[in-house]
Amino acid sequence: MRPDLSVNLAGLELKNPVMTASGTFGYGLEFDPFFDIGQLGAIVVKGLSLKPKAGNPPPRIVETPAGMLNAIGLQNVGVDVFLNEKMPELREKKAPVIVNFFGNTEEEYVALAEKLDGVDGIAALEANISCPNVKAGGIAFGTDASVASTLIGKIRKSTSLPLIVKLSPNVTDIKVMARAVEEAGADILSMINTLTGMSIDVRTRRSNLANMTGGLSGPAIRPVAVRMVWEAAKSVNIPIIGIGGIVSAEDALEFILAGASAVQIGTASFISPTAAIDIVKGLERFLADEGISRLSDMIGALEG
Amino acid sequence: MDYTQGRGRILANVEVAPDHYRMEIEAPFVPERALPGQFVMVKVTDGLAPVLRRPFGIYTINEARGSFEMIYRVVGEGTRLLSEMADGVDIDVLGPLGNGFNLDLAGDQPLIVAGGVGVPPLFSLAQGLIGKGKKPVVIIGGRTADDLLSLDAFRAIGIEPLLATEDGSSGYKGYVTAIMEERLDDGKIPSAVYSCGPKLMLRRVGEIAMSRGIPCELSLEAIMACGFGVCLGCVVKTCSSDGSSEHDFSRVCCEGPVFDAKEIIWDEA
Ligand SMILES: Cc1cc2nc3c(=O)[nH]c(=O)nc-3n(C[C@H](O)[C@H](O)[C@H](O)COP(=O)(O)OP(=O)(O)OC[C@H]3O[C@@H](n4cnc5c(N)ncnc54)[C@H](O)[C@@H]3O)c2cc1C
Ligand SMILES: Cc1cc2nc3c(=O)[nH]c(=O)nc-3n(C[C@H](O)[C@H](O)[C@H](O)COP(=O)(O)O)c2cc1C
Repeated sequence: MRPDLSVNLAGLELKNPVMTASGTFGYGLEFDPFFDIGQLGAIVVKGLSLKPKAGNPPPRIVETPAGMLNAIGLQNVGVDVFLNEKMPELREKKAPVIVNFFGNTEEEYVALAEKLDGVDGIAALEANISCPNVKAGGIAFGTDASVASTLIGKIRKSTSLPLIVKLSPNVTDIKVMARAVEEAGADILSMINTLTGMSIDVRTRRSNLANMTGGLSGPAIRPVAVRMVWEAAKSVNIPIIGIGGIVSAEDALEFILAGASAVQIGTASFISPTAAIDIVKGLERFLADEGISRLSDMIGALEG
Repeated sequence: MDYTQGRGRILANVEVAPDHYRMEIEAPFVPERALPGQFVMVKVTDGLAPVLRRPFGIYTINEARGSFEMIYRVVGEGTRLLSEMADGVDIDVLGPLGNGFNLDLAGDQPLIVAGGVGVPPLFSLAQGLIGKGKKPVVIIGGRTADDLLSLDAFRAIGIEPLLATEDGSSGYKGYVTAIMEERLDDGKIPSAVYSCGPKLMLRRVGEIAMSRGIPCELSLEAIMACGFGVCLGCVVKTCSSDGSSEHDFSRVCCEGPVFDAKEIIWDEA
């Protein structure tokens, strides 16, 4: 018998728990030559802002041990181009679309949430709160519990779609952030975004990134991400989507055992464009081999 | 979007000059569709060090053999691992990627200016131009005579490359751009210029061509993670396409690697 991979995240029904991570899957259509993206649990598109954003000057990426640093600077086509030019084609792919979005002020987040509400084919919204809050001197919304809480409260009132809040790992206590965001009305948490890092070329004595610092992703961050998911899962009652360095089905299961109900695949899609769908197949194989009939039975099933 | 990811098989991996290797890979999906100037991303290990694929220009496109060749210089861990791969071994290939050169740029007397590991993609370009009945002139440069790649390959298709080395160990002592300028001053005006190689060389080649109003295409390199347009890591600054901003960022992997010299905005330094 085929194992049942379906999961239900606060009403968001997915045929399997594997999604793509924002910023690593473009607008989805770039993966058409590789596989049918409709087979994934959901696809999360590149973070959108109200207006198109040019992003940071190059160099924007550098490889690091088992990972990479990026300082793309949230380059994106803007919400209008996305809705007019990408969404019609995406709808035909039959994959639930989750739209990741960000702003530099509370008003921008709210305007985006309103604009995306009720658009056919959009299954949920994911708020990226790791962005600088311009009015508060550029400190990220996601690093201060009360700032994050106010922001999420306002977004919550602006949309009827399931609201996923994507947590930044660059905080002292992830449990505090997770609880604050839950209380403010988040339906689901996704975690983690990239860890801030830096890499220096010792010959030129320059940072390898024009932006000086960047976000670390890839297998290097997985143990940190699993620990954070585990801590958050014990602190909140809403479902969690685990993200960070997943390249195989076993990696995904670490997050699920730690308490995640679903996962997102990021950097792995750069290494192997079929990574996300390969992980779906890998989960099915793992469950079949272990005689487990439902993946949802493994959520939070960590022993000890 | 006409690329694939698949298993290829290494047919040859031979040292052609100190620290330079030529690798032939059987992977029919590449030669079936490849255009001169396109590139591939290969995985150099099944493990995580290094974690990302590495990009290489396509040197020859051999449809009959279902293979293509690339030439690479060992500069770090990824290319070192590549140089140790044995014949007959499988290798994960993603491609063909990028836009490729425009073979139909004005006239039938194009000039090709190549430096270092910029030579390989220009060889398939030369073949393509000859196939169109054009008569390319080729200038190849390197630091020393050892760095002058693929001279015999050019000779085999009837081109005698003009040579420049920084140390004078072969051909003209100095840069390829000096030969280029001298020819222009002698009234030998090419109908178009194509170039690939070190950044400073590309910039100079572009400036010379533009100052004389000659159409010019440059093939750029950038550090890239995915190679097919989603990571947005490999951008270069280009002129705004619609005038709505001071500049655009264009992806070397998709809008490039070949750009019209007029599009590129070079850094100040
Ligand atoms: C479109 C394209 C086509 C290319 N074609 C060829 C080719 O035909 N032959 C060839 O020898 N090389 C080519 N390169 C460069 C080649 O990809 C790099 O030399 C290689 O990735 C280095 O890997 P490494 O692990 O050995 O070195 P690393 O340890 O990663 O780096 C060693 C040095 O190489 C530089 N480097 C790393 N990646 C790149 C990159 N993508 N582009 C430029 N410099 C880089 C680093 O900054 C560092 O200084 C091409 C690059 C691009 C983007
Ligand atoms: C190049 C790149 C761009 C990213 N862009 C975004 C983005 O626009 N919005 C966002 O919320 N996260 C973004 N992320 C973070 C990823 O979605 C993910 O949280 C992170 O990379 C960790 O997962 P991974 O280790 O599987 O890549 C980006 C990551 C990378 C590598």
